Amino acid sequence: MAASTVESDLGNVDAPEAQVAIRSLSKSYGDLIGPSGSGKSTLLRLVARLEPFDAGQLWIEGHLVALGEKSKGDGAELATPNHQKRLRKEVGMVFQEFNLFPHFTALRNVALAPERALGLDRDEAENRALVLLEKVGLAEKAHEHPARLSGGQQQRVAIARALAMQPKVMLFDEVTSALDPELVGEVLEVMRELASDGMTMLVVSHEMQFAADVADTVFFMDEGSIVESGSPDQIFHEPHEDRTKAFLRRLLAR
Amino acid sequence: MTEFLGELVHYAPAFWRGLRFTLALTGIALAIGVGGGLALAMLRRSRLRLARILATIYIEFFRTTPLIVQLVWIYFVLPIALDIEMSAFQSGALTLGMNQAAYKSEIFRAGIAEVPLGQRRASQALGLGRIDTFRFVVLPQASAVILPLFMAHTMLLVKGTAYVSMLRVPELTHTANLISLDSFRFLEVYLAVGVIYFILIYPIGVLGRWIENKGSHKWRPLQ
Repeated sequence: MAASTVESDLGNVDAPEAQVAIRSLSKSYGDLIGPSGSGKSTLLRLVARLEPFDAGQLWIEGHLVALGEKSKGDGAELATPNHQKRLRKEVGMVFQEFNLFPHFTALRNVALAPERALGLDRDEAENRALVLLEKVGLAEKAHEHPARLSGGQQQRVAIARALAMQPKVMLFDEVTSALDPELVGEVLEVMRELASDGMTMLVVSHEMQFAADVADTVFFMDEGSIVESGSPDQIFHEPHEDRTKAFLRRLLAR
Repeated sequence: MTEFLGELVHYAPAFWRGLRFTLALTGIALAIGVGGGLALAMLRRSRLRLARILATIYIEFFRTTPLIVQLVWIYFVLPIALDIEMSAFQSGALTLGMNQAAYKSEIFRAGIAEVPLGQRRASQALGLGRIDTFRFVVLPQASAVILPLFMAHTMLLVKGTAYVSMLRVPELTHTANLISLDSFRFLEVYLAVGVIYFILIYPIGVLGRWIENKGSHKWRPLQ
């Protein structure tokens, strides 16, 4: 996905300089792990351009799509608001708290963005929405409001909603953390399917088993930086870095 | 007293005219108040510091001075300052509207602040622009939150039109004044005009509760 070095002085309160590098993620699934406060969610928000970053470049599938605000010069026009808006359309994001629009039905939740941001007419947008709700197994809930859906169902609608923009990359920010344990499986199932369809995905997750099964690359983050990356096998079984080892030991001790 | 209530019927055309003026003042002030209030609420969230400061000064001016003072200033001073002519009715409606805008903007602002940040983030991440995000995501949810307050404040507006009687705009209260001077039956006239205000204002609260109940079985603001 991105060969990038992104610096941000947003970061986390105690990690003012978020420095990360993500390499060659095209058509693959990357899993970000690391202790809380290590900058994983911040990184996703930077990639989604929900927060500006200071320096560095962001590449998606070979295209430079964004520059840090202080990296002016060549391609500085890429940092314009217009361009950021376009990038957001190419990057889909799913949040821990679902963030479905409570005043719309599931169908309208999914159809809104294609209609308003891509200019599809209402029928086209709603047809697309129905196909996607079908894909996540919720076609029969199309006319329910989010309050009438379980957490797992809401999260699946949220995935359909992000897919409706036909993004090149999907970002998942701890999407199962707010779910009751028995509802986690249905969401992971949808994500597993997406991965096998060849969607490029970057996932912040505490589901280590899932990461081990599905990810092509695992990134370990700590204090705003990517400490180590590699295949799930390597990261989980032969981590090189001490910080990675310590993190995994703490995790296994639980 | 009963025989006078019969006599009041003679004044029905005057009351009717007063009612129309009161309704017109309310309608115009509400339109200015909602439009101006929304604009002010957005200015206070603007990225431009100057816009935020000007909006704040406007709002604080109208919130910290009596409506009567505002009426006098806008009726006597504004036409001179801008070299325009304004009737008492126009001045009255404008003052009420500008006053409404200041208060309504604070209500809107409170409602907008109640919409969780995640809603805006989700909308942005979907590629919706600022205006679409406001229109389709923030405003509907904010409206549901502020509905009770909005309606209560609109009830105050209808009563507030009575202040415009000071400029001798023949709305209900000024009409009641004239009729009581004509008939010397102050208590009865003001009883009648009180009943008319009640009939005007009570349904606003009922309407608010009706809208609230109608939406609440489908969704509630703030999951």
